[in-house]
Amino acid sequence: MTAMVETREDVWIHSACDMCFAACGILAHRRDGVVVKIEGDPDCPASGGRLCAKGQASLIGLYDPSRVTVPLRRTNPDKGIGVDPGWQEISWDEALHLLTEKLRAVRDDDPRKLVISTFDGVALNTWLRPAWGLAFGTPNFNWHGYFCGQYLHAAMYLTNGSFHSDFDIDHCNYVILLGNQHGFGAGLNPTVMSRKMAQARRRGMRVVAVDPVGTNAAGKADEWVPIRPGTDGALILSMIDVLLNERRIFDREFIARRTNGAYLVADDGTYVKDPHSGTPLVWDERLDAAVPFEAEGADSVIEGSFVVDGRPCRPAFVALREHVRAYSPERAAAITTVPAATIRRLATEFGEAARIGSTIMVDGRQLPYRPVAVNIYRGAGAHRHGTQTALAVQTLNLVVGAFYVPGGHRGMNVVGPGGRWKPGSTSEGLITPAKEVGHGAEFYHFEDRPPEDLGLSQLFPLTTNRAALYQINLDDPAQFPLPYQPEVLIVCRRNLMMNNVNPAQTERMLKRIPFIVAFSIHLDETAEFADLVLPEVHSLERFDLFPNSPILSIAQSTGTYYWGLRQPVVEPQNRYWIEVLLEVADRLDFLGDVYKLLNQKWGLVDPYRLDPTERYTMAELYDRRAKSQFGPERGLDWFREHGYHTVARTVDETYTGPLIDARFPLYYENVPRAKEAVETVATALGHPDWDTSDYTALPDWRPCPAFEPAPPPADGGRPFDLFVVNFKVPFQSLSHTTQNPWLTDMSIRNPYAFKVLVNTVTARRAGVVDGAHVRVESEAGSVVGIAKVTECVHPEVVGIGGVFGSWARGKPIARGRGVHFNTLLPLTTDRIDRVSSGVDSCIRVRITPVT
Amino acid sequence: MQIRVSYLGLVRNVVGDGEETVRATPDTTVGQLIDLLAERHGDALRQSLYRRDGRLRTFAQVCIDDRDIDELQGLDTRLDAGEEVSLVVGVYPAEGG
Repeated sequence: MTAMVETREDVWIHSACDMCFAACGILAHRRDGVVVKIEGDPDCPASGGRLCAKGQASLIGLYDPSRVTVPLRRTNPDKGIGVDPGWQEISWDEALHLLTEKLRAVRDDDPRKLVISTFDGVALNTWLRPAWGLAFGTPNFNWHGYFCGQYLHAAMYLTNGSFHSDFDIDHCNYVILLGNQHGFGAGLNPTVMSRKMAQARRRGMRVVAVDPVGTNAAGKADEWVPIRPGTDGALILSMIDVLLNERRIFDREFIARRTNGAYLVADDGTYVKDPHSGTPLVWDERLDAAVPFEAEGADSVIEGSFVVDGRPCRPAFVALREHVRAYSPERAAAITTVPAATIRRLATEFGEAARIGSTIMVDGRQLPYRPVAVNIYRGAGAHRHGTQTALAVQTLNLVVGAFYVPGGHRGMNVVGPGGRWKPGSTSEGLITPAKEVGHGAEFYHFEDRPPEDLGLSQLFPLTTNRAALYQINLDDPAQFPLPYQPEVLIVCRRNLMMNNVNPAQTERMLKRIPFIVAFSIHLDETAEFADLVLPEVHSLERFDLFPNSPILSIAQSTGTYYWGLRQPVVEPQNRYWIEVLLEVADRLDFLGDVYKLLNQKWGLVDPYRLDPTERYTMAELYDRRAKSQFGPERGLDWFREHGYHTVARTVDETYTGPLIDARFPLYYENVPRAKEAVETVATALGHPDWDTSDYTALPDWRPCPAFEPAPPPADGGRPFDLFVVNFKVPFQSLSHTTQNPWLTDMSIRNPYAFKVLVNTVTARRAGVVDGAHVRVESEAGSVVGIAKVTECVHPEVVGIGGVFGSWARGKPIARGRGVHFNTLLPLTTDRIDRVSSGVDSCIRVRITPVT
Repeated sequence: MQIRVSYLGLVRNVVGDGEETVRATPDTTVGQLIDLLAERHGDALRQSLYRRDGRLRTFAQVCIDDRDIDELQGLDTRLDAGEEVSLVVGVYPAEGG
């Protein structure tokens, strides 16, 4: 006989998912204190009531018995992969005392010796970057991932003035997904975009997936174009060549009025400027004379050659047109393996689909209609010359005018509600990010002083994410002399061992850091190197107020601006790491400075400004922030009950072209100026031969080191004759999701996730058999996995799922499953993009059957 | 008049203190105040805030009562008695992964 248990509690709670950066709104169903279901929150514009497998599976992570529940202190001074740390349980009081005193010693000596590494975007952008890290006095709190957007974000800031790449999926008719899966369960607002992609396909949008791997997106696309890794830039430049020189398809009016394509460029590559005002000149056809680009009514031309004050010059567009002649489809075919006829066809289809000259009525506004886009994320640019590829892609979007108009490419959340923020403009009329993004994302003025941060800001002035430099500097402090050496590392939600490069190289680097504090949900591969482990809350246990901001990942396609809340859906077992750091700030007497900075960065107004002499709980801080922005009726309690505050976007706030006063760069005259500063800084740092060849006014394709003739393998064995790339499955996000048993179950059932993808022809030649073990070796390391012999990978390429292959004892579900791709990657200054510092993931390998 | 000055971020490291109160003549501008502070604290303060050409560094921010001087008249903004000036160095933009 079964006893009937009366249900005493049955509630649905608004919160936000944290299984990837999309932060979809969720509803958590809690019965008698136990979360039994998670669904998409229909009130959330970012999820629209739908949720992916990761989000739904997150609840099982809440009840994972392998979670860290108490503070742990290391007793074994030896550190290394597989070395038992000898964990000793300690009280929170002991742990906080230990942490505080370590940080006190560092702050009293030199605050820059503190390094923070996290991929916790909300914590970073709400607390650490604007306030805690600054108030502590360290510049070293920007150690994020090495790959996913390193080249991307800087290139987008430079070209579209925003943090990200997006396109108008509601009107686009032809999209090229270059090494990404936007709309197929990945990228910006994936639950919304997947539905919109399905709608777009029904109305006839053509999707072309360019990727070495037949990904989820490629499998559903109209056309999959397999490409040799690291050659996307050559393909795009060749398409531009076809459009400009063979087919003469380009948006003359857009280029003349909305880009710097009409700016006159002298033979030395610099703008021809008005001698008095310093303003770049254009050639006015009406006056048959050079006039400032901003001259009222100027009818500027984009073709021809001229002489101004005795100097021969031509419009920047002509310089571009002549530049891309070097990328004929025949030459690009040899580089990319994409046939020349395919390149010509893709370019022609793209150009014709752009419908140059057409307009569309949207909610009563007549707007230019350019329903084409090339979209990028990680894949195309995680290479030695990744920035050049990104700039080439933006050039292709620009020449057909598909920029911030219906159907075309656009940045993300680039204009705030009611004009609260919008991009700025340089004195040369070119776009810069809104100042709310941060003053440092301004790529037209350069410093030639020695850097003082591990990211070497002055050596990489055109990027914003310099994460790989942290590891390079920590690993070899002599390479770029800094006036201090780091002594304490705080790491949270960032698995440095799994997600960077070869673990042996990362191990060496971590062992150089005297004291490591890990805020951990699991004793993962990085926590194994910690001296102190503090149990971190699960995302379903924490508070985060999501502000609507220029950097929150909100695509215009959601139709709204929104502000949301992540709140605990159960009583937290542990403490949110930011709450701990605020307590440490109080103990070290700099919490008042944190509050001062929050007043500025959050824009708090009276009576909600923080008093530096007072102390506030996290809930009180969020309450003040919410009320300061929305008034006394919309404090934290309102958000807890309702979840989201939304404001519908107007037409102009969706198709922001008319709201952006500045022009978009088609010619990067500022980049050679950056080169001069970089060379000065490099010389001061002892690198007079630092390679600055990528600092060019027009993008080029250059081969990654993997394309250079490789020295014979040290073991005298077969040469490394293949490339390896990683790929993404939509039901895994970062290495932490691999510890989720439900997602692991899906991965087991998926034919590719845990496997090594080898092309059928390649497998036959190498003697590799489907389902049998295969060894993959690079110059950096070696992994073994189960072969999946398939047509869904380029014949020159081996494919490996990106987040698998854990080995930590504290992750029993993930441990030993799949293959660790990053083992195959080395990290040196020769293998980073010298503009963005993004790590080159293009590496040669060989494969061998394992018996 | 008296102006309260807060040093936040990397500039605090070169000044060695978190805040101070300085006496300035009426109508002093932000730029003039910084000149005054540079006399007191030396070139390290000036270098922390300025580029060689005399403009504010991209990583530096100056606020008057929490309002960015970019929204006012920049370094030419005139100060009133009792206002608090914050000098912040180390303002990095969002980066992503």
